[in-house]
Amino acid sequence: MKFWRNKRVWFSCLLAVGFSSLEAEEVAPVQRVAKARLTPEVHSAINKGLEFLSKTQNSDGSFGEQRHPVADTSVCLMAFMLQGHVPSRGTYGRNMDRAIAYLINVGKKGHKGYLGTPRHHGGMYEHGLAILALSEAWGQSLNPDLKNTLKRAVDITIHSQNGQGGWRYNPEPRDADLSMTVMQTVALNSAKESGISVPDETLKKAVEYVIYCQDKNSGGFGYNGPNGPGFARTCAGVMSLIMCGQRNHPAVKRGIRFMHAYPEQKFSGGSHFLYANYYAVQCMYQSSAADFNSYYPQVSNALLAKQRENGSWSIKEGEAYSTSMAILIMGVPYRFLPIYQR
Amino acid sequence: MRLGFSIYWFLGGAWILLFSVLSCFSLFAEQADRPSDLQFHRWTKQLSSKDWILQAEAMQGLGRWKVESAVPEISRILRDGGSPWVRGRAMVTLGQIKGREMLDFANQASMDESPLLRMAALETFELVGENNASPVVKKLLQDSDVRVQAMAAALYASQFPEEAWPVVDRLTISNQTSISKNLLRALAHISSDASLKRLENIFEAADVDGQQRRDLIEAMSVADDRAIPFLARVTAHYDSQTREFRVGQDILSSLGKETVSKTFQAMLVDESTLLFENLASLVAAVQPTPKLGDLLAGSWILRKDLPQEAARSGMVALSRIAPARYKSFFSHYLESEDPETRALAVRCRSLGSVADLFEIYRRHVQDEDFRVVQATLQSLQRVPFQFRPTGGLLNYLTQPLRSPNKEVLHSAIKLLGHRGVPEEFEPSLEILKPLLALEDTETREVAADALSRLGGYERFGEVAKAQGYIGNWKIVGPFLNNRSNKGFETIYKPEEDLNAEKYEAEYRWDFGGGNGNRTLELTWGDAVPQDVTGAIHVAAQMPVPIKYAVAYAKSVIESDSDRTVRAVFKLNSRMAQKLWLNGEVAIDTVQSPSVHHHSESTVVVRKLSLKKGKNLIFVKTSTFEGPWWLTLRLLHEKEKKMAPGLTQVFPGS
Repeated sequence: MKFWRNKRVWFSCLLAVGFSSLEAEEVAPVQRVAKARLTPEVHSAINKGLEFLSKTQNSDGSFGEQRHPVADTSVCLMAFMLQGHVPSRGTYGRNMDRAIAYLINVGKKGHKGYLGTPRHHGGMYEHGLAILALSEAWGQSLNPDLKNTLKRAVDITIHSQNGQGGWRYNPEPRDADLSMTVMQTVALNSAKESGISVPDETLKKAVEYVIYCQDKNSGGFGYNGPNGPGFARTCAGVMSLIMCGQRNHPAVKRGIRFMHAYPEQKFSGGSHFLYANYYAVQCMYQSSAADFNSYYPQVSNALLAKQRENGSWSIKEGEAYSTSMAILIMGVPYRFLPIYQR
Repeated sequence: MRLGFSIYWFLGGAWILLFSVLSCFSLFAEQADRPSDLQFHRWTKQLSSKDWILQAEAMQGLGRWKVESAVPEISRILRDGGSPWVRGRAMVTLGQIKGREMLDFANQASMDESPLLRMAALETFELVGENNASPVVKKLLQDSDVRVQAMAAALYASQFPEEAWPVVDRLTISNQTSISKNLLRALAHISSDASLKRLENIFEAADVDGQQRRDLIEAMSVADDRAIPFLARVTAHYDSQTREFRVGQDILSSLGKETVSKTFQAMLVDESTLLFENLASLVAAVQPTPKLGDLLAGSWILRKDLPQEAARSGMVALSRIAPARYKSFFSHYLESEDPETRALAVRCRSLGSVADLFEIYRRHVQDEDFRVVQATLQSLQRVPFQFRPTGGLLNYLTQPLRSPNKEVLHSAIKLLGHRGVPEEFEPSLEILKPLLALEDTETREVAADALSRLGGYERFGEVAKAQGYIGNWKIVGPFLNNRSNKGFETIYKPEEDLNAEKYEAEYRWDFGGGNGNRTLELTWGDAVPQDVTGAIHVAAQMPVPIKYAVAYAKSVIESDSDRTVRAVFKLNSRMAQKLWLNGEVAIDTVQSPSVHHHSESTVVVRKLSLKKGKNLIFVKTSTFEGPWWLTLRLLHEKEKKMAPGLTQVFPGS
């Protein structure tokens, strides 16, 4: 049986015995990072954040302020799953059912199952995030339409890959940038792990494009080529390579080096603070215990300091998105999301 | 008047020839896409030209696409055209566009004094006239001009084949070596035993030229199914790459399938093997069916008199029909005494089931003829990875890996690289070392690439060292540099004490996110090549990301005697390099800051005098925003191979 199946089986078994009601520290997950663990403060902050999200869900099942409802809903759904909550059960089961139904409904209305906002430059981001969230939910949700929604959406992504191996704003094989390519690569990997057919060639070409975007001297990644390496892009590029099984590729090692060397500003803010650290913390977790331990406490402390009284975060991109992303960053030690497992 | 007529006659004749050729091409050409509106506009404008050629070209396009808006202008040419010939073209074009409306005009033109117009009238009748024109056609059979007679005969034969035979017989019975196309068409239209016999006589006449035979095959496009055996025979006289073959193939494809199949069946078991070579190609092109394939394979394999060319052609045909179905046929010819046939059999056999191919080809990989070995090695690339030869691939390839034939040698090395397993890396390296030691050949690169595939990146260093690249480096950096390469002029601590354990260095962060200036504590680190060309990616050895930097590298070479070697290294754009040998500056090269970022790297060659014993090589290298690689290869002073008697050791060991 393939490794991903083991992970899924493990995850499903835990959830099947009503695991959602247990505290994360009360169990011994299969893969435990040696030192950095979830502190009581972080656990409490995540609980407050999830409670905030559950109370602010929109009537149609979506989350957020309707600027990017698919993206907001997708990350919110993953935030619930992060702590081990499952659809149809427990405290947030109803919230998750409604979020899944909302995403499936978007797929039904969308052209050929497209999950993004049509003719919007963020459309493919939404599409990728929704694939990621639904892939992670598949196996726990009882919604009979989920699989078909996923298959159609994955098919669109596969056929939108351009000749270089990348993706961009629209579901068509034209140009490419690293950020969008990483989003689709992560989504496809998650879908593949959940059992949806994804050609190896698609992921191989994506890896080639991501590596092309690396500046070989610095190890940082550029936006649509090796020029102008930046922190957020590097975190994203490295994460996608790791997800594609390239953990030991020299490009990953150089990228991690770049991330470590980046100034302390990475923990305090910046234009893509949540986006960058969402990938950064996963990269460090996947890279080594030492990397994770040197990185995670600093970013979780920074996020704890930014949480508001009502349990939410609001860091540039709206409360639903910010709160979910903060939870996803701080909650990596839970390791209940299959993509967070090594 | 008389002179003018003659010129028209001459020009008309030439243009009839040209347009006949064009028509033939269009006859067998695939249906073209409709031209653009702009093209139609150009053609319409072209009608106003005084040049007949341009007018005729435009009318051909407009007529083909039945452009009614062009009718007034074409009518003008018909009325006032500069020659009978171009007026004739106008008549035919209007026939294409207006159809039967042109019959009356064609009737009148059939009585014109110009034979060119009379011929054009016949052409118009053929286009639109059905049988109504037969009185006129019959009259023109007696025309004073033989060309008009021939065209009338063709038209008459198309409408009344049986009645036409006496006339066509009379016109074709003598002078069979220069029968016009129209008479050939007339014979084809009739398609009776007698007319087909006449065509056969024409085709086989000793003094008939190639053009006449080509015309004959093209004329068969108007024949019916009775002509299939004859057409199949004449087509099989030609190689499959010829125009005649393709024309015959197209016509046969358009005729009755059942009759064609029966004809092929009869030909495949013919007593004579004369036409077999091209027949197989014809079968594969026209009717690639298992029924015919089975007959070919079953009957030919038993024929002792089968020429090797026919056997090869049969294999190609069968591989096009269903290669897996005929593997016993291919296997039969694996034993052929003719190497060309054996080589082709190897290729064809590999198109079917391939699981046991390594064992089947065990003898062929050692064949005495290089073409067979080459075909075998290339075919083995098809075998799925899970199938391997008994005794290992390296043993299997022993003989071709020693081949003096370069193509065979390269194919064997490539197969080893693609299909070998990591366990075969070390013995493969030993076998390929003599090739790796060559100075700069394609063979060395092929061998290095194969070994890199076998051993993976962990073994790149060994492959590089086997080629004479220095692979044991210790590197320290980065030290400050800038876009102008100022750091290369600065003497940093390693130049004063290259054996220190640690160095303090300033570091500047150049990638955004605030001020990252800090002090680094640097130590020497081991570095081995990142690819089989011996290149050390210096930037990757740095503990922090760099944009502009200086680094130092050192290595030790032990020589068994005093000797001079040639040092070869690459200098990328926007980098500099300085080399000390045993404390003395031996090489100092700086790429100009004005060199473009992406310009080609420069190969630098300098002589170095090594002493017996240990020689310290110390390198200062810098980048000012470009690719930063370090390669150094030591070659024999004069011969084109790596320097002998050298051992690489890590400094300090």
